[in-house]
Amino acid sequence: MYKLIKRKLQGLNRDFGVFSKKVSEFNLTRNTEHKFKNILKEAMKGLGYDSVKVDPAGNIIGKVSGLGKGEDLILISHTNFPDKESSFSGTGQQLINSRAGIISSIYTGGLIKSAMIPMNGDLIVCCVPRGECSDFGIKYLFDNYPKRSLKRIKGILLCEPTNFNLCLGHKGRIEYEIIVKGKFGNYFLENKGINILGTMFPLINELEKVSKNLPSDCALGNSTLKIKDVSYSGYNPAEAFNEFKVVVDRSFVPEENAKKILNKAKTIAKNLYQGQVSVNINTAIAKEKIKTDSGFEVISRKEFMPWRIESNNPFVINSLESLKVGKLNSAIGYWKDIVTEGSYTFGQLGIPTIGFGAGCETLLKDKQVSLSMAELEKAVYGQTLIAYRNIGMPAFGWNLDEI
Amino acid sequence: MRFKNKTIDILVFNCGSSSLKYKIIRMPSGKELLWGEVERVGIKTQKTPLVTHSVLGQKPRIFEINLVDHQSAFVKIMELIKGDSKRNKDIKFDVFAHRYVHPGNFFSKTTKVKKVVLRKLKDTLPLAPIHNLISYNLIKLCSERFPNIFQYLVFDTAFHSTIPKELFTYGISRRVSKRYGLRKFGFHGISHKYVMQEACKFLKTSAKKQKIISCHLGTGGSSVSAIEGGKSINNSMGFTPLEGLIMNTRSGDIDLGVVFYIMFKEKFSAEMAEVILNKKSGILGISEFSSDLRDLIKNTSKNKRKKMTFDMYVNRVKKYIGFYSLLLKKADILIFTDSIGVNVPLVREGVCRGLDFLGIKLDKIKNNNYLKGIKDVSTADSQAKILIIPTDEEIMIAREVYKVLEK
Amino acid sequence: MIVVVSLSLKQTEIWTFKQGLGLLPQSFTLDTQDILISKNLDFYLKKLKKKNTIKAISFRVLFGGDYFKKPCLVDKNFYQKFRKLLSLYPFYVPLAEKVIKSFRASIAKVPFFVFFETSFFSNLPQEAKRYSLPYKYSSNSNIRRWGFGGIYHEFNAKEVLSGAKVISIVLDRQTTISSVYKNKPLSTSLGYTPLEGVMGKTSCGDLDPGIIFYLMKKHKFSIHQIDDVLKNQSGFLGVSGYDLDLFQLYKLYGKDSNVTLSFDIYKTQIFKYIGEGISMLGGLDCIVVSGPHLSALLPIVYAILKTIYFLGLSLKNLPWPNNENVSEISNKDSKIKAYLNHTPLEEIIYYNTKKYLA
Repeated sequence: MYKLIKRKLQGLNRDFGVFSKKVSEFNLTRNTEHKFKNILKEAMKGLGYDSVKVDPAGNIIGKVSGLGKGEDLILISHTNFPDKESSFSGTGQQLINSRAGIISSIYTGGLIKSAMIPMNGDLIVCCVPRGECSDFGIKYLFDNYPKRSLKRIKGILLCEPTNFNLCLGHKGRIEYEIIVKGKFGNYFLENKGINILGTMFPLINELEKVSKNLPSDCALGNSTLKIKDVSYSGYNPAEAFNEFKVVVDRSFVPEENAKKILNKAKTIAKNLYQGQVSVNINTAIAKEKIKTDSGFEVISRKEFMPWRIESNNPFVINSLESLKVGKLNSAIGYWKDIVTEGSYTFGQLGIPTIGFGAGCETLLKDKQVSLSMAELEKAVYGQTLIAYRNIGMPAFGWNLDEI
Repeated sequence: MRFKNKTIDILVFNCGSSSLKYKIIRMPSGKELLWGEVERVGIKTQKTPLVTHSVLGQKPRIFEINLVDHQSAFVKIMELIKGDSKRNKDIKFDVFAHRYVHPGNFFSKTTKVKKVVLRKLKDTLPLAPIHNLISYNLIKLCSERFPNIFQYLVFDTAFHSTIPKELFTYGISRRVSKRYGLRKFGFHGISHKYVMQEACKFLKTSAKKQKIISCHLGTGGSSVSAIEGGKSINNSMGFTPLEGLIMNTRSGDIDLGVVFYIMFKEKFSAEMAEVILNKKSGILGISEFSSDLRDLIKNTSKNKRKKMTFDMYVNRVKKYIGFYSLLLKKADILIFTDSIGVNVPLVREGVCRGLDFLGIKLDKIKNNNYLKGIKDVSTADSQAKILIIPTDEEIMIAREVYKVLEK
Repeated sequence: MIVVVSLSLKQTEIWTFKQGLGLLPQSFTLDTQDILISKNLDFYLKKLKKKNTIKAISFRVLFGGDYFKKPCLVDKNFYQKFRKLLSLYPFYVPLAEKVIKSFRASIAKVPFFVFFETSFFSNLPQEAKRYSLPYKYSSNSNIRRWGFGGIYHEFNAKEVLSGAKVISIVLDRQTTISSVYKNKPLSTSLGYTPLEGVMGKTSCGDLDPGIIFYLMKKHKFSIHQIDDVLKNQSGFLGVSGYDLDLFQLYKLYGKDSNVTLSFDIYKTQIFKYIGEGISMLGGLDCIVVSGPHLSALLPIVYAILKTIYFLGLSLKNLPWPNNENVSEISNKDSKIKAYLNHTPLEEIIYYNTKKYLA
């Protein structure tokens, strides 16, 4: 069967190359978002997907129907939802972190369809929009997923960069705000002529100290704390109403959780500013307002849960073995820097989830990275093997090159 | 060393998958001081386990007793022997000898049991899950209860170490077969060697000149061997006793694609599938009536299913006789041995039917009139002699052990 | 003009025959995947139609299971029946169906015949069809000895010495050996998959089932891994270590010990099934050897048949006559007759199609 897949990849090579160039070079902005979705939709249709639809949240869902009534497999890749200011273009890390997954997952479905690789259940390929640190797309997808079909899901394959290893999880990540309101005493940092900005320094210093003493997990890596943004209003600390906000980008290991982190942040701030007059301290998970071009609106929390699927889960074992038999030297791994939709699908919903794709999650310094066609084809090859092993109809005994 | 020039009394244990035979044999004369058998133990048939026990050639005591496994049978036997030896000082034994079915690549010659041997034997357990485990447990129990008496192991595979390379190598990837030691070993070597020796004695000819096909058809396992010039050149069993003939609960040859298909569809683990192929297939599986061919023949000739089971059984034996006839370029001697080979004339008749072309002609009357001992049931104009030879693995084991003790 | 199409996963071979002229030069091979996506097939078929009227198209299909005991016409019921084989041959069935439909889209109003490699063996006696498994599995309609290479075997038996005790050997990608008496098969070497019978280029042939359980229990193989080893990594490739076609490989016979071993194992496996055949037939009148690999493996055929001399086969010396489709290679005084059948598969199907049209 391996020769069958490789032959098919050769046959699709030209179209694959054209599509991957188009997708990776696309400059994704609020204005071009609609066009981008169409490119993906048309690609799926052109590859013969049995149904393609775009839901109000912007999820692009393509289905390759199975031959039997068995379980389904879902392939998930993500697009970065462009907010007003930003634009995402597909070069360097952006290419690897999102576009490669989209390109490879769509072509995995296409290969399976056109090579007529027999599957017991459906293969569902989803390109899911993701906010800056919010998983609004996948949430909408599963909130609106037909309940009967939910039980039929064998597993989910995240087409994210894993350097061709099988990734089983990652740390959690939240973006939170510490908001300090109040009237600061005359002698607060007195005689320094410091304005409201300066009153933040003790907090920032303390947060820096915390960032150096965070727990770590042997598999998932170290928790990190980065100060993402600071903002303030008011000029004179001693005068009436002042407010400053520190926005923190925090990744965390399973032993921590959002609530604990927010509480700790609050405690730190309180300890620093409690002596001051009418000080009010609040911590909250940051939110972003999403409004898609189809009119869908949602306020999404910037939160990804940590998750980790056991390496002895049958879905993991079968998938790893299928890669081994296909002569891909894949090992079990975990993402150390990025977050994925697995936080929701496994962390929240408990659906067996693994990741496989081309590229590394972090650019190596000073390296101009782009993914070659060979690497993208290798990703399609591996994803096809995983899909076939898990929901394919086996053909024992007959060498498929001999019949 | 200390046994030289003396007589040695060997207590031989021979575990089958559904029986336990034992004999005290005085070597070098070969006289049987005591013999016995526990039949139908550990497997599903229509009857309860049966013990037959005879001392010094007297009329055997036969009684039915509920015994759950081979170990409890061993305990009962040792009780009986203890009782006998109290009554008669001639009844004693100096060493134990066991038949061990599948030593894999670890052993091929008669071996004395020591701790290191027991440890290696443990590694051989997965090779023959029914037999090795039964023997291993028995050997262990024996060494625990009788720590001061030597035990010897004679292997079922030893006779087949002369199978040529193109016949013991499978068509499987060499990398895999080399790495895991996969090759045809062959079994029932003790029995095949014994009947070969006895056949040549009976016909007063040298084994070096004979081409022999030997059919060991038992109620447990069955196998056919091709023997040329006194050396085994093939056996129908392979890496495990699962290959070859249709047996009482074993499938024998089967398309592995079928096995995979069933395992995938029914979500069987290796253990479950092995149990099905080893304990629920074969005669029992096809007939759904009994695992003993004798029960089938007794009950009807009008039942289609039973007829089909019988035909499939006979055809599989014929497959190997045909194969070996080609390898040997027609056999000089065709031997039938073990419980079904010796006691069921219908099987011999079915197997030999249509084999005239290969020089095998069965005399129906002689065949039906066979009672006991070694007899030739071929017609006068049959090219091959057809001999019925009751097997005696125990005396063969005693002979092999004595050879070692002599040195 | 009659068109014969051989449907494989990789390629579709198309031959054209005309009454009186035999095989026409307008024969070609297409990539099966290509047929499904492009318009190549339509283009070639339209070209064919221009030159000659097509009287019938016959397809060679590898598997017919229990539903196709004879060659059949492609009619309304065909696709429904054929689909039932899906779980047995999940790669082949949807593809074959689609290709036949593509032909139908280009050529209407012409009878389509389908010849199966398995239908000849639907006449195997019950005890030869069943596997020695528990009855509830062996009575499953999907688990049978289906056989393979039936198109050759049937021709070998019926057209050379009809009604006699025949052993038919077909040397193809899968080597199969059948015994036939009174034009009905009594035994065959390939049952359900190439994991039984004689080894092939990458398949292992007969293997002790105990090996699977040993590898799974002791060395943690899964059924998919073992299946991959046995069907893709074994056979001539696995034993010799070389990925060459048999003709090239045979050149190394005697020079490389692993290559020699692989052919020797092959020979003994063939012996096993000739032996089985002789036992089932209760005698032997004739041996017919055929198949695409026949010319490449002539020396092996000679070596095998030479060893059967003791049964009454007096063999002509090499080189053997090659001028006719069916040539006798046994001497006039030989008790057992032996023939080589060089008739290619497509001609056999053409011949059978003519009979059906008449």
